[in-house]
Amino acid sequence: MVVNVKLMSLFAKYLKDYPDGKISLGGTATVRTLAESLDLPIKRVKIITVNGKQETLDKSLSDGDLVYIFPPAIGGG
Amino acid sequence: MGNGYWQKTLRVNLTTGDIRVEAIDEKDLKAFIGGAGLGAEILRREIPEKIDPLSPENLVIFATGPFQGPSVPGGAKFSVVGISPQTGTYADTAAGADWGPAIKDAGYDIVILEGKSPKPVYLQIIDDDVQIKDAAAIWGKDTFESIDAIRRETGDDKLSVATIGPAGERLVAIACIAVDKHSFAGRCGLGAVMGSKNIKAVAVRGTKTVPVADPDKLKELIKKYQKQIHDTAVENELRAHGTPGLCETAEGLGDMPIKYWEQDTWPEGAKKLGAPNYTEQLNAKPLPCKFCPIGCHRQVSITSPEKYRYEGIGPEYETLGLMGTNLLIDDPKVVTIGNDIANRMGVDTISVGAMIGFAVGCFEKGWLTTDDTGGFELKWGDADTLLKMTELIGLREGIGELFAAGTLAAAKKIHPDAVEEVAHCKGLDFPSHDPRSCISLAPTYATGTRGACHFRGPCEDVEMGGFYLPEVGINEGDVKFFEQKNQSLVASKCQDLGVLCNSLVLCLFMIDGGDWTLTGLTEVFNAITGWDFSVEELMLTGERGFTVQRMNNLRDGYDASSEVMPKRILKIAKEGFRAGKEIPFEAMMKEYYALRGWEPNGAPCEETLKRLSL
Repeated sequence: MVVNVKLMSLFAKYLKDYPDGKISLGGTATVRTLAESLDLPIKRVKIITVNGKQETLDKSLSDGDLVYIFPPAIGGG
Repeated sequence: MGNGYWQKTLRVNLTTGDIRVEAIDEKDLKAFIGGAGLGAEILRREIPEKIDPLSPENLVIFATGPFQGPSVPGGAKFSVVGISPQTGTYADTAAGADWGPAIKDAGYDIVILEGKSPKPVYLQIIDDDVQIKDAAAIWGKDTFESIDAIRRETGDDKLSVATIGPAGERLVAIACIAVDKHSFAGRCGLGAVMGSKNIKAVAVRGTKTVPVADPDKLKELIKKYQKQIHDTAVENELRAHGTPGLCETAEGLGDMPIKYWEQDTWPEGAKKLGAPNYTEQLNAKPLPCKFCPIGCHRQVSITSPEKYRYEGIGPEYETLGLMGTNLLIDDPKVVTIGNDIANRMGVDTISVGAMIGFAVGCFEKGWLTTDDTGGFELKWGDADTLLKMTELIGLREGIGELFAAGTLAAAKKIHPDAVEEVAHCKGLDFPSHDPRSCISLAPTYATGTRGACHFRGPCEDVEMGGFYLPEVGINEGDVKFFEQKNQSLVASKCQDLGVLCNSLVLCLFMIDGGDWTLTGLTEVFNAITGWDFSVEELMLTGERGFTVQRMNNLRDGYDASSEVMPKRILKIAKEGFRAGKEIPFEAMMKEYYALRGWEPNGAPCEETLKRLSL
């Protein structure tokens, strides 16, 4: 399956090899599988949306899903 | 053996010139810790109800806590407490740089300014030598010039200086206090209270060392936590990119103000303003406060275009929000210049950005015209609008006069319908966080003792995955966007944390960014004081301080009826992450009141007061 991925702000660099944001994943995949495949620092992956809805790392992905992963908000001042 | 306090207040009566040192009872320190907690209690004890904030009856209380003596990470802070001319409520505001440790090294925990000087003065404190000095030659200078002038006049370039700018002198209700050209006690207009007392600055240097209970253990703990916090801030890139790293996350989650809270999304604007673009465009580097292992503040350098050539401190996330996306300005260089003007004039960058956004909206509606502005148009996305308006508001000139008492006061003069357009709680303009996105902000803003503030209860960063407080039952996954469950609990615990940090006084970023735990900071607190507080007991002092702050407001008539969401913020988004979502405000407030133990009118129940030993 192919999912559309947007990595925001300081996470954008983990997507630099995929300018169109399309990531192919084999078989069944979760957000965790996706994050690991992109070498994202899993410990910092806290805020995920799939098709506009907040989800966790364990969310199963389907072909065509739109996945946003945001770095956590720190230093809100 | 000491306890990290001198147990001394320096009280300066500016009317009479009387200077005296008073003892602080250890009982009060154990109950309120210091800073904003103890400051609120002093205010409760000493001022009558419903004073005019700009009258000599108001106090300006500079308050430290136990964390300013030793080199505690994030401990180079102090609180300033008084009644706000912007809101009429209790107010505290905090700043970093060197001033907090400097006053501690001079031998005092607290400085209280009372009365009103017959002429402009500044206060110079060098250990036991305390002088009220003539400020005729400094009055009128901007904040940076004032700091330079005081250091030049005294021949002492090591003085830490907390000063007001022209805005404070001219009683602009959003006037801030600038510290060492580096940090700003920004919100609530306490700079104007200094101005009303004819005091330009408090300049401090000290040579003493406050004794602590267990210096060896403290040294070991500080070393351990300095490293841990530093390593965390390197890993999460708060050190590399500062708070601008938040822009895209905040915008993506519907948390950032766009077009004065009217527009739902603007990803391209947030991307340009935020890191990493900010860091590259402005050649930004960390600019740490004393003892800080994070260094979130930014030193920036702009070499082109020529008109924006600049070297100095850069804007924070909050300013990028209110002076950037809020005005549809996407150039971090423009915001840097706006930030610099505000800093030099001595106005709060949050409120001045909010005012300008509000003013542009009024201009669009025809409620303000070029007759009001002195000939220039107010436009979205326009650098001149930001830069001219910031200067005029800071100088209280032209249209700045209309805004001198705050956005809400200006709205009342502009148009009968304008009041409903203001994004505020109790008169304090919203910061760059939207309660329609992080809904725990709704009760936080509504019940905020100084009005709408995200930093007297940083619950939005819990919602957005920034930090948790496991010791008090706040864990990852406890709250989800737009779901009411646990949100009021998070709001109340974060408010208690906010008061605790502003009482110690500790920069919240050590926790929200540095992952310092409540357990860790309690260990440090006990090594300094020699007391044996548990995490729960320390957090209880935060709740007690919050309640006393509230009691100040209740005394002055701010009860449950003042705890509302502004109409502008009840508008439901049509697109983006929070499209179609509504804040379950009434239900959240009901739950929040039950958790707090408050009567329906907003007063704490008898049992609550008893539990808090009040």
